[in-house]
Amino acid sequence: MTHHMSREFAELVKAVGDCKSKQEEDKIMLKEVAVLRVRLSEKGAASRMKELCVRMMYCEMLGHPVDFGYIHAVNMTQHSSLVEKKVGYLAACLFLEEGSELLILLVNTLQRDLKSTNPWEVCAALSAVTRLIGPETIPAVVGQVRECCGHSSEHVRKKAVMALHRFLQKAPETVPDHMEYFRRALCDRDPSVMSSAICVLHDIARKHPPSYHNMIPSLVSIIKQVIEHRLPREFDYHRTPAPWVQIRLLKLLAILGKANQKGSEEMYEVLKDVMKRADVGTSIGFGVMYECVRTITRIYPHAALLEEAAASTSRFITSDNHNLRYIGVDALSAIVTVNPKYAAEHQMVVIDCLEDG
Amino acid sequence: GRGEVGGQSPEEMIKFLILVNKQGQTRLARYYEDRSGMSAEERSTQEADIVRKCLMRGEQQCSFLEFMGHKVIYRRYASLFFIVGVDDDENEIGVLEFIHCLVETLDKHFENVCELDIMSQLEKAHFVVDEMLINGFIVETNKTNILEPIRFLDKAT
Repeated sequence: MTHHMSREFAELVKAVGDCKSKQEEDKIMLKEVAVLRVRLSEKGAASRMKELCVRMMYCEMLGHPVDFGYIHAVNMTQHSSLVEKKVGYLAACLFLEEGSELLILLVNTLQRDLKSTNPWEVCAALSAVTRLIGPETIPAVVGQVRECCGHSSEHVRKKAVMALHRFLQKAPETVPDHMEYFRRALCDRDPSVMSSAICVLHDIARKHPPSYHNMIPSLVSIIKQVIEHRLPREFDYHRTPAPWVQIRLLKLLAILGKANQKGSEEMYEVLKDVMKRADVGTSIGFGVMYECVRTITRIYPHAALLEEAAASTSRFITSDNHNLRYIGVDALSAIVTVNPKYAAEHQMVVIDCLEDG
Repeated sequence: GRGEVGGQSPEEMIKFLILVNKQGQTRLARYYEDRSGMSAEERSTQEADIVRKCLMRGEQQCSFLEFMGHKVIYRRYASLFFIVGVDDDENEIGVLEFIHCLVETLDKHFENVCELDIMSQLEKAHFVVDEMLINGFIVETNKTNILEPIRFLDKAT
């Protein structure tokens, strides 16, 4: 696609880029708001609406609301062209608050797009739903979103899971059957759908961990899969497999293993493995190790694992890198909370590094 | 260590992601919590305040700071600061690297992304962020998956 910007817009971008002060920027934006008021009511507005919406986004972003223009963004979501539709939804998400009257106008379009045969249209609607939905509008779309959880496109399934989670946050009574969908998503053949399920389950489980203790074996199996490189290579980041999925799983295991001896015992072996495999000298590797240390300090204590955690922590604290030292201090305080003995054993290392300053 | 609120472990999500240049001019802003309470103007002012705080950091200080009750994690790329506000219990290194993953993805799409690319294709930059962060959760970091819908859009038009 050739990216086309009108001269007026190109000049705006240049002016904003060149300006040297907030006052200068405000002057430029006040003028732009006035220009947009005119442009939006002109005859040719509809054919330039995508650009006009992006210019409205600019105004809002720089502190100058354009309430008079919101309706145009909402209307643009009805456009048959995908790019116009997506920009309309994006602008609506940025402009509208939950409870806005204009949301009612969006509902029909959302319902239509959620049923579209074009998965990208469904995705656009799901993104908007997740952002804009409120208790009054959930009932109009919840049935269709449930169906999207079983869509043939993994992009749709992933977003549908997140939308359903949002419904749970806003109006739990609309999705009493939510666990059925999240458990299924956890076992989805697509790693991104599984990833979305893990985020959701982490958020849900923290409210009442005992109800989810029985998930520990599945989660251990998933994290094992990840660290053994059984996901496609595209999920690697700097040679670490799906690190944010690992981190999220570690957080979830921490919640489920807390004060749960039997459950914790199911985790010890894989935690050792996660720690070992994350130790590759990259920043993200250290991030995974740090989360592993935190998990080890939160679950039912295991002496050998706490030793490993303390050893990793020593390395963070003695690093040249300020960020690693920061997390090292936090990790150390977590370990000391479990049992001061473990800190005492590494006391000399800590004292040495503090003396070196 | 981090505290737990009322026995329940705290929410762990990203509260906002903003791109602000060193002059305090916002280039992209995404908020993941209910914004009711802050006007567009107030948010814009706050964004400049945050970057000012980042600019005061010395080379010997880490990339994490506190701002108005949020933990803030930032990373500078040339003139542009990528700034993420998080809950207290977040994994700071994970977020720091997520920022880098976002930059790598923008780089892949825009081919050596610069501030001007984000300014002249703001909606595209938002589309990338929206594929990766949903409702404040890091959901997608596979660059092929992130860019697939955006490439489809480019081909269709």
